Amino acid sequence: MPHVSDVVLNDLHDGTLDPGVLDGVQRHLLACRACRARSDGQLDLRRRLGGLPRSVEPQSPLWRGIRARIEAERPVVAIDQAPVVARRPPRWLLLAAAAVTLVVASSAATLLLVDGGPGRARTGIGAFAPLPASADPAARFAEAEAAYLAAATELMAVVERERRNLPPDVAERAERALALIDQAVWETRAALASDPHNRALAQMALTAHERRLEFLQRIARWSTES
Amino acid sequence: MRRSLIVLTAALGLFFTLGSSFHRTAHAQQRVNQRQAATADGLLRIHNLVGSVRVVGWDRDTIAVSGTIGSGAFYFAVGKGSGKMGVELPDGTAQARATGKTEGRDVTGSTLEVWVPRRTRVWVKTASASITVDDVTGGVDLYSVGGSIRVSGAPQDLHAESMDGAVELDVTTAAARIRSAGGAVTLRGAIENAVASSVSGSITVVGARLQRGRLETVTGDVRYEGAVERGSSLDFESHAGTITLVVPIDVSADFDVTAFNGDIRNGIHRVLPRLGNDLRSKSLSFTAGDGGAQVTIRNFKGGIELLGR
Repeated sequence: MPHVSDVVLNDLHDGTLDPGVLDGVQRHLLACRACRARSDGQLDLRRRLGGLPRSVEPQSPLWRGIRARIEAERPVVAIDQAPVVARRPPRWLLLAAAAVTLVVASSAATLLLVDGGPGRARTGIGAFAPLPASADPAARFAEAEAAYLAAATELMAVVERERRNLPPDVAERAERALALIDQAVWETRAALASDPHNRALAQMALTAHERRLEFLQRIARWSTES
Repeated sequence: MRRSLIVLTAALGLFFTLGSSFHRTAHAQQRVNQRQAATADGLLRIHNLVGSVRVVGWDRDTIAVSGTIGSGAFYFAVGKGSGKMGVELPDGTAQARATGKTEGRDVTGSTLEVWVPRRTRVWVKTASASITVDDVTGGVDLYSVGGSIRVSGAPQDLHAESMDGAVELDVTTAAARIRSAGGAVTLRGAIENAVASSVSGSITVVGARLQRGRLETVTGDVRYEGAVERGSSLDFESHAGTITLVVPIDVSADFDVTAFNGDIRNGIHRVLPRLGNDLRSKSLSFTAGDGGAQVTIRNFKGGIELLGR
């Protein structure tokens, strides 16, 4: 399968991806490190955007004056004059724009912190120093997941190579079960991306990986022993 | 004259058709009835892909088999401490193993009924054939792709694996490990350490006594109905199936329950679920009675029900 486009990734995360291609996309993401990294990047971006306030009111008196004038000059729209609804840009475009905003905000925050000099509390978007792997549950999860995925990729290669040995109906049933497991893996890790320090969720995501690995082992065994 | 000729032709046709069919049946269905001396606690491997296998433990140092052999050749050999038995299908029927059919050619299943010394370690592998094991006290390893598996008695330990067949256990054992994909799993009896996993098949525990249990599904429902033993540890996990516990109203255990995207219904204690920081997940922690047992339940998007009886 070719690499997954950003549009498809966004649809996947929005839950609007065509069910006909859902299994294939999830399977590809679990096997392809590059696409998975892009997907994780999008999920991380969503999580960080979700943590931002919906609006920030600048405290400057100058802005208050400008706002008062804008409010005063806003035309009154009659009830029967429905405003023209602008076509909503696609989600990926909004996210791309938001990404640029976030990078700018992050850079600005970092600059502010640097200006603040040493000893100031390091808070704000993008201002956290990387933690040692052993201290960060998210990093520990990433390490464990990488090991599961590497093993699963090897097993998947065996399954792909040997599956012709399975009777077609068995292969089909195994494929259906694997699609359910893939979906479970995908949904738990997507939830974890939104809440990376949730230990119970991390445990569930790892259990889902373990289940996938175990099932792939079973299919590989059936294939090679048939 | 012409009418008589038609009747005669039809009669002859019917005769040859029946005759040919009878010959094929007689050829395909051979009776088998053999026995060999065996050690009391040896290993027996049984391989029968289509049909059925029933293994019964008895108090003799003999392995005996009776049944009918369909397609393929029967083999049975006992060596020092181990034996093997089974039906080897003819070449070219490998693709028929799960369904019993291949490219329009029938595969007739074989029915094996096997008596083994009670302490024998039994290993059975089938494709669509069902497996039944009764009264064996040695270890039991059972694998089937689509056949059902049923075990009763007190095996030393038990491993049962089926993809689509139902797995039913009514056993007293130290350890049971059951894996299914689409088939339903049902547990009864007394199991010190039980691990059961399934994908879309349900897992039901009825009146069983588990000391340590881990029951998990992806989309299948999980239902546990019975007591919670003092000092026991029970883990339930599902991704999208409903998890239901029906326990005595005076149960003593520490409960740790989390539903990430589903509801929790607590019918055994007054404590209400707490909403998580994400405003979506719900969790519940409480001690019922004097505690002394640990019950952990995790569900990603299915519901959780705790019911008293």
